[in-house]
Amino acid sequence: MKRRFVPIVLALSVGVVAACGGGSSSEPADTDSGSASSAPVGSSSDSPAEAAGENDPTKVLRVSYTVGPSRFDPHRASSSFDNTSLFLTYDRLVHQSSGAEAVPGLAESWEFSEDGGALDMKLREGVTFHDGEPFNAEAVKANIERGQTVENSAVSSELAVIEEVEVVDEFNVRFVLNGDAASLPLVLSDRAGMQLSPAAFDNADLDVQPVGAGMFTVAEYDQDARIVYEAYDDYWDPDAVQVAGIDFLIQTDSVTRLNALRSGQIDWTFVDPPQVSEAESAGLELLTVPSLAYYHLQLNGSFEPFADPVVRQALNHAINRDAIVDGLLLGIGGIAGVQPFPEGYFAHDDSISADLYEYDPEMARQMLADAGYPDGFTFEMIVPTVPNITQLGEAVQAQLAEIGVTAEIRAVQPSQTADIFYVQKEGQGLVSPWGGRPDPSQTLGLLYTAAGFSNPGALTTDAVEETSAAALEVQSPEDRALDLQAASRQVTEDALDVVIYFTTTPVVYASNVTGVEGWFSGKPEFRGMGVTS
Amino acid sequence: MLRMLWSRLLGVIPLLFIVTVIVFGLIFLVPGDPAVTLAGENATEERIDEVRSNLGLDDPVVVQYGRWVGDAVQGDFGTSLFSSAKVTDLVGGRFTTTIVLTAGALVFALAVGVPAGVLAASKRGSWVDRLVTLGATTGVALPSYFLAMLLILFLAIRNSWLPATGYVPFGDDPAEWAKSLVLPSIALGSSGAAVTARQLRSSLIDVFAQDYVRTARAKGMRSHTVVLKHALKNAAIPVVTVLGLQISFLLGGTVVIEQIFGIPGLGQLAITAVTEGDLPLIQGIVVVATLVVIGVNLIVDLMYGYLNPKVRAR
Repeated sequence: MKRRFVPIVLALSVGVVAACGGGSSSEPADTDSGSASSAPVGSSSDSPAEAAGENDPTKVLRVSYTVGPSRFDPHRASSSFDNTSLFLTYDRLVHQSSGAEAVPGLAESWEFSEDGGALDMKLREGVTFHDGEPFNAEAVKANIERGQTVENSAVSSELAVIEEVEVVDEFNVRFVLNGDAASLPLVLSDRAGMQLSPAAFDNADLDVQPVGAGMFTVAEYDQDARIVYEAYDDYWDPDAVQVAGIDFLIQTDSVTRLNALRSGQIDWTFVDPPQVSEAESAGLELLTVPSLAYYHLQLNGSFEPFADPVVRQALNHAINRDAIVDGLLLGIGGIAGVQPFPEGYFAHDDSISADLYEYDPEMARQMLADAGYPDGFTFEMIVPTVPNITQLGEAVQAQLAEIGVTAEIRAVQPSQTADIFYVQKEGQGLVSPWGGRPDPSQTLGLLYTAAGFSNPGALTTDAVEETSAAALEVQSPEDRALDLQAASRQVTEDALDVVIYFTTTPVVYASNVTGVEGWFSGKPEFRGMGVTS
Repeated sequence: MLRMLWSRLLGVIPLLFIVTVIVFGLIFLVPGDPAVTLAGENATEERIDEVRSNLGLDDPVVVQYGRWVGDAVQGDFGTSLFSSAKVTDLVGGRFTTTIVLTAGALVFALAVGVPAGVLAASKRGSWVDRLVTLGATTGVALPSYFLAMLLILFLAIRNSWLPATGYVPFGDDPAEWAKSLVLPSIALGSSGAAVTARQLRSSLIDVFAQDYVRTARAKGMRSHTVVLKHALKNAAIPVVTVLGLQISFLLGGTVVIEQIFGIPGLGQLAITAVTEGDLPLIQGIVVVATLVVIGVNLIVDLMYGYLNPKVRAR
């Protein structure tokens, strides 16, 4: 059963039609690279999906998601999965298009100074926070400084590149930078750029009661169970808010979520691949959403064999990506890939296809022999105990065994994985998902440069260091995309990683839901979604 | 009686001590550090160290345990590492839901199990008896999650009579509250019903063979008076024992059932806490669960006294 994927741009405009599984092919989405002038994609009130009928503004959109926020304090929320619930109530300086490019948010436009030493932002006027406080340059300055200094901040390292925030006038702000920071606009589309009402900085209940300037206010919050959002009437982009509120349920189990949708208790959710055929036969709408997140076998370069590029290339040739996608993901849960960025994304180098590391165990064995390992070697492979990762780990183990490499699986608790592999630097390999980052330079920096936190063995090459640094230099978005692609190509050719597949998420929803989009970031934003009567 | 109560209550203290030490120990045996998760996804090692020392996670295990106990005896179970919400609030909010669900399952178990057991024992060897035995065997063998799936499929999806998932608090809407409890209670309570029916059947059959029952029947007492007034009370002791065990079992079963029905109870909270390695929260849940089990055992013991005056005499 081979299904085809809806490219992002198509997904944007097709909505309901896409549900019939009709996307033409996985041709790359035509993304124009990061110009700050295009309109926010979220406000897509012209989505043809609405042909189904008029949105009823009194309706509440009922959704079910797997996790709730770790906390509602945007600067101390520690997981990128918090974004889904935080985006609804906090607005960011920069938004992301559904194709994960920077588009205006609370900042109407931005520009780097000539020498790249500063970033100037023009702020949107007339925006108020949910508590009535005005949004202005002072508020931005206060928020950035809070993000840098608040105790247990989870965004301080992302904001470290900002030396100082200067209030130019009420709606103009200048970030003075202490290094190359072409990634900053997209970094500010994440929690680091969320704007909290300065009057609420010291609220004792900030972890459970957000005070932002986003599309919805939080009326009720039962931790890990339910969030009741109500539309914020004064939101600056009324087109983005087509419902009276969002009833946000948190249900970890995919079958439970599908049952809730089938019995009409909710309107929108996503499921695991095994539930897709059931969802389809129940007549629900389906949209398969590709994302920046990928699963990989990450290597610790301090382990001798992995320091050898030929060995790493051999490992890449040993992995049968198509078999994994078809067998474990039923052909619908992922797209095979070898680069750290997916097809259709502006940092993906189109000159390299998955064929670069074609499945060829024979050749892989030969390469190992050439590198001085005719009998293979043994290494410890860390695998978090999540059912789908365990399966993937076992598949990788079996495929590596084919070329004589013995991967001894060490199962670890999911929440401890980062500590064990990145901090304690235990194990030589790790099978896990990489969630992607708002800006490609963040992924490059964290995983593939020597100083990267998520690169325990400092595995890199001079060429990768150089291309990654070049991609951080301030330049036109088009030129920067080329630099990012060069870095991606270099990472792939030097085989710094064994990328296996990019996840795709089957989103299912009721037929009276409009404006459903696939978000490349993997964090649905619900902008402009409506419910017809 | 009062002395028994006292000695039982005092016995709780060492038990809680042992249980919490074991939980603390287990968590420290698992490698890894919550500070890494807390520091965010783009953390640096300095940030992680900072978080660790802010939370006191770099202190020796004994110091951490001592601190926890010191606060706990004052009713402060600390704050969740991840949400910084008070553990007492988190557990308290979920506790009621789980207890209501457990009670619902118990009600179902008794409402089905007791009549079935009485019927089977009274009509021993008949087709009714065989039907009850068959049903009870199936009920014990059928895993609760499988039954839950079947119930959802037929009663919530094919026919939308009852909600497939979720829980509505009583205060919001009593009718919806009752509806939201039906399927999970049946799924959770079915094995309890089966066990009750089997226990009651065999213990009633024993009691029916006793002389006083024969005497009662011989003096012309009506059959149901014999069963309900005389036999049932004496047959109840083994059933009460089994029910006590069942309640602990049901409490454990809520972990799975709450997951399937998307009910925000203690079981779901426990899963989240364990996967995140949220030590204070896990400890809070374990203490509460231990207290419930101890409480239930105490009630069972008191019930013995009510059912059998010979026990009371001591």
